[in-house]
Order: sequence, then C-alpha cells, then structure tokens
Amino acid sequence: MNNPLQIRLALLAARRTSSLFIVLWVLVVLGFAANTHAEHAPHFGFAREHVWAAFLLAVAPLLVLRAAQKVPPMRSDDVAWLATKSASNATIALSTWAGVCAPWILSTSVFAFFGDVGAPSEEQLSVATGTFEVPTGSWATSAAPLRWTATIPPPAEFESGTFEIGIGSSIGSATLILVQLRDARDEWRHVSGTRVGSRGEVSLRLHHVDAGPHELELVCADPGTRAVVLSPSGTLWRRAASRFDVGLSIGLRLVQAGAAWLALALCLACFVGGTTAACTVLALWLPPWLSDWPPSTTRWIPGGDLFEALAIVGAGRAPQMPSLHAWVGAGVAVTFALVATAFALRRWRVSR
Amino acid sequence: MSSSALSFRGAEHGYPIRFGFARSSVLRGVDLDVARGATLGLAGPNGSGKSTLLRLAAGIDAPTRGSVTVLGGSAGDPAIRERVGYLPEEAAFPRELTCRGALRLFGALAGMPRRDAHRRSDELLAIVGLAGDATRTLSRCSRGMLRRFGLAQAWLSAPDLILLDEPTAGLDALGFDVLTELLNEARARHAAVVLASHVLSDLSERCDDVAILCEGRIVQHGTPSAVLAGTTLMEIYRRHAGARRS
Repeated sequence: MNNPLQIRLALLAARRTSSLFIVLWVLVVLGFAANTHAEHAPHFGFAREHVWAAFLLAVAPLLVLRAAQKVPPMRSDDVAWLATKSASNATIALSTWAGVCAPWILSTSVFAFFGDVGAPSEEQLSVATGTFEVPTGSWATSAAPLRWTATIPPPAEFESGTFEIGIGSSIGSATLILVQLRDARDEWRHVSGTRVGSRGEVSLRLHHVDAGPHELELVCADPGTRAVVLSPSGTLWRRAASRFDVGLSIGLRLVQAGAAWLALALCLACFVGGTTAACTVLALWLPPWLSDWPPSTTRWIPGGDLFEALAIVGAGRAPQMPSLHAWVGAGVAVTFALVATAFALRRWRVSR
Repeated sequence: MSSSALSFRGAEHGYPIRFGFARSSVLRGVDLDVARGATLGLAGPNGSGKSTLLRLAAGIDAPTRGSVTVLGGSAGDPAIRERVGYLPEEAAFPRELTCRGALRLFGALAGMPRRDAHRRSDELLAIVGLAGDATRTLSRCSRGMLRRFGLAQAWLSAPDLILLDEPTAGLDALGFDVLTELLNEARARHAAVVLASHVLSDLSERCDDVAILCEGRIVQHGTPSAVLAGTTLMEIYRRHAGARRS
C-alpha cells in the first residue's frame, strides 16, 4: 500500500509554488515592512501591524494564486506521468496540499519572527486571555450609575480588563468615566478613570483582584452626561510571557486560514482556471472580514477574526491564541476540499 | 492466469464535443490481444487512435463502450498500474526536477520501496546514457535526452506491460541502441510491449506482431512479414481509407 503522503510529490508542489521570484518577492516585502521606522509611535504595535498587513496584502494572495495556477494535479501536462502511477487520488490530493502549505508556513514563520524580533526589550506586552461580562447596550448617566456583576475567571493573574463605551451626551470634548469595583472586603475602590470623547475604551486595573464574581459600577462623573456599553464582552489582559506572543498568535491564525485557502483553491482549480479559483476563495473571506457577523459565527471560520486580531496588535497588545473552534473550522474546510479534489481527479483518469 | 497481457473487446472511445452533448468517435469497436512476452507494433495515420488506444491501456481514459483488460484486471486498479510502464508521445515531465529526482519520485508514486527505487533509477540512467546527467534538471535536457529519460521511467518498476507512444521520435543513434537494449530486457523478462510508431523499421525489426489502425478500427493484424510484405504503410493507409470512402 502506498504511503498516503508522498514527500517527493509534496516537495514538487512546494517547489512549484515558490519560484525564485516568489522567494525574492517575499524577502523584498519583508525587508520593507520590517524596516518601518516607528520611533514616534507610542508602542511597537504599529510596526508589528505593518509587517502583518504587508504579508496579507502582498504575500498571501500571491502564494494562493501561485498554488492554484501552477500546482493543481490535474493540469494536462502532468497527466502523462502522474495519472498512470499507482498512487491514489487521495494521496495525490493530500501530498499536493501539504506541498503548497510548506512555503506558506515557512513565510508566515519568517514574518512572525521578524515582526517581533525588533520589539524593545523593555516592552510591556499584554495578551488577551479571557473575557468578562459587561452589560452591553445599557446606559449609565451622571444621576444613575450602571451596576453589574462580572466573574473574573481563575487563575486571576490579570493586569487589566477593557471594554468599549460610547458617549450619549457630554459637556465639553470628553467625558470623565469612572469605574469602581467592590472587593472582597466589601469596599468600593476605583479601578478606572478615563476621559472619553464620543467613543473609546475603558481600561480597568485588575491587579490583586481575586477570581470570582465582582460587582462593578460605571459612573459618568460629569453632570448631565451619559454613556452606553458597546462591547459584547470585556477583554481580560495579562502580561505576555514573550514578545513573540504576537507573532505566534497572528501566525497561527494565518496557518489556519492558509491551510483552508490553499485546499479550497486547489480543489476549485480542478474545475475552473487557477486565477479564478484563487480570487474566488479569497473573496469568500471578505464577508466575515468586512460585515458585522456575530463572533459566534466568525469563531468557526479560520482567520475569520484576523482583522480584529490585527487591530489589537496595532493597539500595542497581543491577541488571544486562535480558538479551538477555528481549528475545527479549518479542519472541516481542508477535509472537504481534499475529498472534493480527490473526487475531481476521478475525471482525470480511470479510478476504481 | 490469462496468457494475454492486454485485451480490447469491442472497445470504443470518443472525446466530448459541443459542451459534452456529443462525442467525437476515435476508437470504433477495437478487438485486440497482446500476449505476455510479445511485442506488438501499432501503426496508423495521424488521428487514427493509436495514442487513445494506449491511454485506455494506461488507465488514463476509460472506454465508452466495450472493455479493456490489462494484465488480467482493470487498468484503473492501483495494483495493475504498478505493473504498467507508459511513455507518452509528448512527455511533459516535471521540468523542475533532476533526471534522478524525477525517477525517484516516479518510483515512490509507483509504490516501489525507497531503496529499490534509488537503485533502479541509477541503473536505468546508466542504461539510457544519462548517468552523467543525473543531476541535470529536465528543463535543461534536449529532446533526445528527454526521450531517453522517458524510456527509463517507462522501465522503472520492471513492468509486465510497457506502452510506448512514438518512442523513436527525437531519438539519436544512441537512443535507438538504448531502445533495442530495453526491448531485449523486456523480452527476457517475458514482459509485453505495445509500440506505436510511424517508422517502418521499428515495426518490422522490433515487433513480433503489427496491427494497423485506421479511423479507429484495426484493419490489419499479423506478423510484420505478413502485414508489410511488398507494400508500404502509406499504401496500406490509402487502401483502407479509400475502401472506407468508396
């Protein structure tokens, strides 16, 4: 029985995806992106975001396009030597996909490393590690503070929590928003004091706050002002273990997304031209990126929260690692695409 | 165990035209047997269906009607594919790979153990005169070298049935000697060979039997001396094409 993954066929697919031009192009894009001078920026997040934006705009589409154009195993040129071999259609589909994924993973890893390696050693990077409840859509006014109970999950080593609010009416250009937390001794203490214009983030200091339910109070300090909670949930932050947490987090999202894109593009290219296949697959991701799909839906899409994650990177923080749901979604997309590819190859030669 | 290495019974094949609503008929009821250990020469004018017949035997295309039996089984059976070698007419081998790398890839895809594939690749590269060019990429090989490489890959897994589509096209004198040596090796192993060619000497000197294919039908089949005695291929083609038109 043949090995289900033929390394030599995978290497051929990898080689066809990554010509010398592609390698040089990736290096040129990386060179420009990683040398962004952000010395006037308040944090290194802008530089990181720049590197990943360059990858998404200048490298990712090219790799998908190249794979769909050059590699689909049913190109007429390959029939003579590939269709007559005993390797199964599933082996050909799997090996080809594995091969086109290799340059993708390699280039993602390189961008991840160079995106983070220039970060200053004294950088204090926070990473999203959980969520807490917020009363979405509820109003606080200067006369009536908004109170709710939020549960801080264990191990509760968080340094801050954030959520977004909008200002309904204000006096002057910005409104002072205070947040208090009732601690274990039943005493209220201030955990946030922020001036917000029309819309902004409230950051709570959560050092030494124990796990468990805590009562919170949102206060509009200026008379005659009111604010509404916009975030569907609050985000909990703790100190990142390494400066490479950002690269790992974004890189894993891109590995998920790339695995699905490449499998789908290879599959579609069995039926239509490579360019059409690549453009169609990339266009499939525009709705979850550009429209306001609920997180309960986008969390199943590999790379579905990529732009939210990049916004966090741009704010000088590290996004949470991709969810298990997204891994499951990527697995389903890849499995579907590979099965469809193997099935499509039945048109390409006599198959039992 | 059947003594026939390759058998066509009423095999018909056509390619879809008019958006798949119709088929152009290429093979029309072909009956043909190739015995194990025999070398069959296949001749016919352009478009007569020689390459299509070999594609059916190689398991690339399926007959639209009739049957094709290869080594006692289906051409699409992976176990049968491992025992068939195929040299296509226009061999677009992976140009990125070296001669040795491509043979090793083909060996792996044919289910050969790694060590056997490596040993056999080096042996065959020596036989076809490409041992010194083993690390040359196929994109840098001449047409003649590619034909010799094509012969090497067809013989790679020591197949029991070898299908050669115009094997001498583009071959130099060295290539002709290589083909003779490989055909002798196949004969010694009792492997069957089907050789499609336009060259009379290929058919008369290298083949045990010759079949003439005209407009998708076998119009003559016998020993080279019986089929080609006192005539030329052109005269045979004209005779059958003329008979059909009249």
